[in-house]
Amino acid sequence: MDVFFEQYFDISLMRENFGIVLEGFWETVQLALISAAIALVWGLVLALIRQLPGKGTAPARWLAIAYIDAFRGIPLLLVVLIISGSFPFLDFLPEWLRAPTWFGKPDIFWYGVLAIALTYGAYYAEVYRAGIEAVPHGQREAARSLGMSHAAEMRHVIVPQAVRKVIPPMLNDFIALMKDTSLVQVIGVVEVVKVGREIQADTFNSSALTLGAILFLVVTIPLARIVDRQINRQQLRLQRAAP
Amino acid sequence: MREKRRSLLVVALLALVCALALAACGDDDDDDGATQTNGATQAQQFDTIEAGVLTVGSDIPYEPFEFGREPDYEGFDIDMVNAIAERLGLEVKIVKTPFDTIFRNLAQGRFDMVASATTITEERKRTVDFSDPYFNADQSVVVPADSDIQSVADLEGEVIGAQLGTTGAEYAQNEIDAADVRTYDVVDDAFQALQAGQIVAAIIDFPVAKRAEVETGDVKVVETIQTDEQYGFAFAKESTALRDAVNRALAEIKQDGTYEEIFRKWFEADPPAEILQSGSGG
Amino acid sequence: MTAPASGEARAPMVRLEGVHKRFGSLHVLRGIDMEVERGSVVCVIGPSGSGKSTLLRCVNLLERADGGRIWLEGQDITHARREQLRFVHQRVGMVFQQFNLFPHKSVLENVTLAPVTVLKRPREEAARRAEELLTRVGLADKIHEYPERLSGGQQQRVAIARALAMDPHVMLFDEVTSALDPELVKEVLDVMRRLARDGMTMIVVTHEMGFAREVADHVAFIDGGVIVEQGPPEEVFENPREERTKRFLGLVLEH
Repeated sequence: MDVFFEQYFDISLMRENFGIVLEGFWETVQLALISAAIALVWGLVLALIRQLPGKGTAPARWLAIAYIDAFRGIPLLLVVLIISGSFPFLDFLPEWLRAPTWFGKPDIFWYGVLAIALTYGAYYAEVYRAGIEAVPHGQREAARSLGMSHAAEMRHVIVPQAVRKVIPPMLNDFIALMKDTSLVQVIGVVEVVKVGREIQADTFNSSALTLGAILFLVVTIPLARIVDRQINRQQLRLQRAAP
Repeated sequence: MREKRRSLLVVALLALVCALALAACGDDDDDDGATQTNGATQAQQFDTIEAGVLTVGSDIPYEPFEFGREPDYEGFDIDMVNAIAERLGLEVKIVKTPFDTIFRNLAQGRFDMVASATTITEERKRTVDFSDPYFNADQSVVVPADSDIQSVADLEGEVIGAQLGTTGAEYAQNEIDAADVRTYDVVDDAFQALQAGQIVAAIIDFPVAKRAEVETGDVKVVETIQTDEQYGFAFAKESTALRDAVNRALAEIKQDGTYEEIFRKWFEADPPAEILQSGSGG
Repeated sequence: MTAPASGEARAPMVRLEGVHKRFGSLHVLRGIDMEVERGSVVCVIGPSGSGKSTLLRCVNLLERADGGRIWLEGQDITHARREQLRFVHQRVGMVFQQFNLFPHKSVLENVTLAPVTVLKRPREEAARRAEELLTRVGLADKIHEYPERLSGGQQQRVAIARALAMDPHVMLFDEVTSALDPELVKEVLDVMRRLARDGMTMIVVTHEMGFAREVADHVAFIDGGVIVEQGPPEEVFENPREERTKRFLGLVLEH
């Protein structure tokens, strides 16, 4: 048991490496925030395409559904590997897209962002869909009988209500996304878990991994409490609602 | 309806328990028939995790030292391990293991020995024990075949790579003024990153790099960094008896021509005299 | 879609001929014939499940009829699409039993949203008109409140103002007081009375027999998907001809 504490809770080692681990965690946070921002927008686009009315738009709807199924069905790790493995060889892409180094971040960072955003966009699309379907049908009828077009109905009536409803699952998915950023270490991005492993390889001690875990909890636990509070508030509001 | 669901759950749990039990039973089958060869020149005075079997941890692939598919692994280290085990009267079981945690796993008793082109370093000696050296190695700078880079000096300010936990990574991080050193779990990922242009060079053990150059032609070794490294087999600190037995077997191999045979098979050259003479150390 | 010919100026505002509607195997409307004159108030009464709401929803095409034809201001709108559909929605306003106010928008925003986005009216103009309408329904002081802070009766009045903001020619009322507490019913009916007095063409599905008797120009009793009896309120309420009508009225009026 002593060995366990020595291996995982070496305080002096944690203190020594706190700076580097924190740097790695900052990388994690950047990955998470940027990917999530893109995924939130992309997911909404997908969800709206799925809602398009009319027969002519059926191919677009099917494509959206196929995309969502595909990216919900493949492990994120595979997506990361496929993107980083293939992009450098996509000659038809201009250099600045093929191996992007925007804002001083290397190409592997952006491959990671793309992989996460494409995958979580699919998850968010489903969350949006649940929210949209949860908006009472009467809202659509009211909007329609006032003469609003499908686009106006979505934009002014349905989506604002849908988004408010789905904040808890959105936050939950964000927590999952943030944890999943650690997968991009396999293509070379040094986020907090990789930092821990590099320190582990150098020192034969795993305490930096524990430190990484603690940093994660510092963020994810408060987020989880916020989710709980949102859910409670929504429950109360439902109970108070007019007929 | 609830009754049906509950009985389904019971059946599922029973199936799970049976499966686990069968899996546990399965492991014992390896025990039967492991005969003690009379080739053993001394009585066995050491313990192995599994009686009659030398369990060896190795990071596969690391061509030409250990590569191939289970159960037909091949390579310099594999041949060495087989030769040693024969003289000890043991069967061999190779356990494929990632390199960055291989010493920790050894110390925790997952295998009897590590044979993984492992450099003997003072740092590692704090956690594990090593056999006598069995191979001389250097690091090298390996680049894509069409690269302009010619030496370590050209790597200043560039993005380079190495395998996580290796002396190559250590060299890259401490001795080279690179813009970034990317570490990869498996050496093949480093080669792939090289191909994809994500790193301009990798710092890898010379024999492995050379092998890749010869086999694929996609990469080339542009400089050998002399580090005077030596490979040893690694053991948990308590396994002194096993280590001594392995050292004895190793000495035999070096003397009776077996080492030369194996070396020539994989490197098409004569082994350096220094290695043949190094012994009874550790 | 073109300007009404002189003959159409005298055509009924709304006309249904042989309208059928099925939901799966349920045959809800079994041949409805009805006419609503300009400026008149038609009350539709009948037991639950008789098809009253469905009839109303066919008029503004929230439901599509499976058979028969529907005319609005002389135009055949039975199979209206796109532009013609937009024409229908702009000419016909609807108020729902469940109010269906937009909860994330203030009262004022509820009333201005459609005029601004659909009719492309400038925001200030729409706001002025909205305030006018909200004053008419007695809610001038609530314009910046959110629906969840209003009583049922207040919400329903906002819903009426919202529908009126589009300057419809016909207003449809789908059991608009059925979900209200009894003491809140009167304020809504008062608004509807005034609307009728000001000459709005109205089709009102309701259980409020007193209101129907007092305000309606024409009453239709619907049962089992057909209009069993229709006529001026005095006839239908005082001297119903059909057995079913008598039974329904007997049941309803005796409490």
